[in-house]
Amino acid sequence: MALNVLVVDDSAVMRAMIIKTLRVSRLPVREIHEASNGREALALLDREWIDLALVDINMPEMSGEELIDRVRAMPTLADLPLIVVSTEGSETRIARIRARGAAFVHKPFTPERPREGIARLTGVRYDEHDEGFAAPGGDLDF
Amino acid sequence: MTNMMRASLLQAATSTFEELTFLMPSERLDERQANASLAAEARVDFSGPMNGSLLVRVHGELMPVLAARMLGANAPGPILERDALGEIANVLCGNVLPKIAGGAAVFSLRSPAVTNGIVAPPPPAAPAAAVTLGLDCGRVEVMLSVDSDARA
Repeated sequence: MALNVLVVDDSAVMRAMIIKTLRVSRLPVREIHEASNGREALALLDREWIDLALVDINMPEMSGEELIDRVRAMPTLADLPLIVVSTEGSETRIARIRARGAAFVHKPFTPERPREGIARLTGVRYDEHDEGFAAPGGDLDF
Repeated sequence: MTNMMRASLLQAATSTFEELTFLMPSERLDERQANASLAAEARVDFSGPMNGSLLVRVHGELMPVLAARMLGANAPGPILERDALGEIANVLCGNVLPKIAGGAAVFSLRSPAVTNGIVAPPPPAAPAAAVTLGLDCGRVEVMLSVDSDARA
């Protein structure tokens, strides 16, 4: 199974960093789509098959929290695996994100953190012996 | 300026630059770093248990260096350079506030505002905390300003 991934962040640099991390992750990734806010992300989810979305929280137009609520309310997307990639440090807000069924990766992140989260959420596998990355099961906010 | 605030700001700034740019910041500046002129600044306003702003001022020829190291690409161009600085300020602000206010506090961060050194307004006269770090061919000043009643 190869994943179609959506990266949602208002920073072009952060989108590029996340995509670079995905490219070197050895995860089976087919296509990577980009959106700069929640509204763009919803439009993209409407026309493309997406297996996983990595979502920032603080974005103009539509925040990541509102995007998650909209996705969870849509019957066809309610089970979409979501990972919030954010600078958010508030335990209260992180608990709120988890309660919506999303995983959380804190910025800045090391390359193995999104990979472990994706493997755990989607069930895809990767070569654990490549590039010295750790196997799933480490200290993660999931 | 409280020692706790400055220590928190130093820790957040150091780890942000190390992890986003793979540069090793140092509080000890060489002559070139110390004399570098202002190139750009990014400001992130925040509100919550305390209100204020975080300012990152970049001196010297660091803008292309920071963006190139974040992206793993040469010559990213001025638009991505500005975006990179904004993201650094955003990450730094998001990381320092819980260190000061505690993990239960919920803050709202505005999108970063980035200006070049020519039009940047003067920095706050008395920030709650400030650190200066040497990085590669320049230096960064990081200043945290909060409402006066939150400093006690």
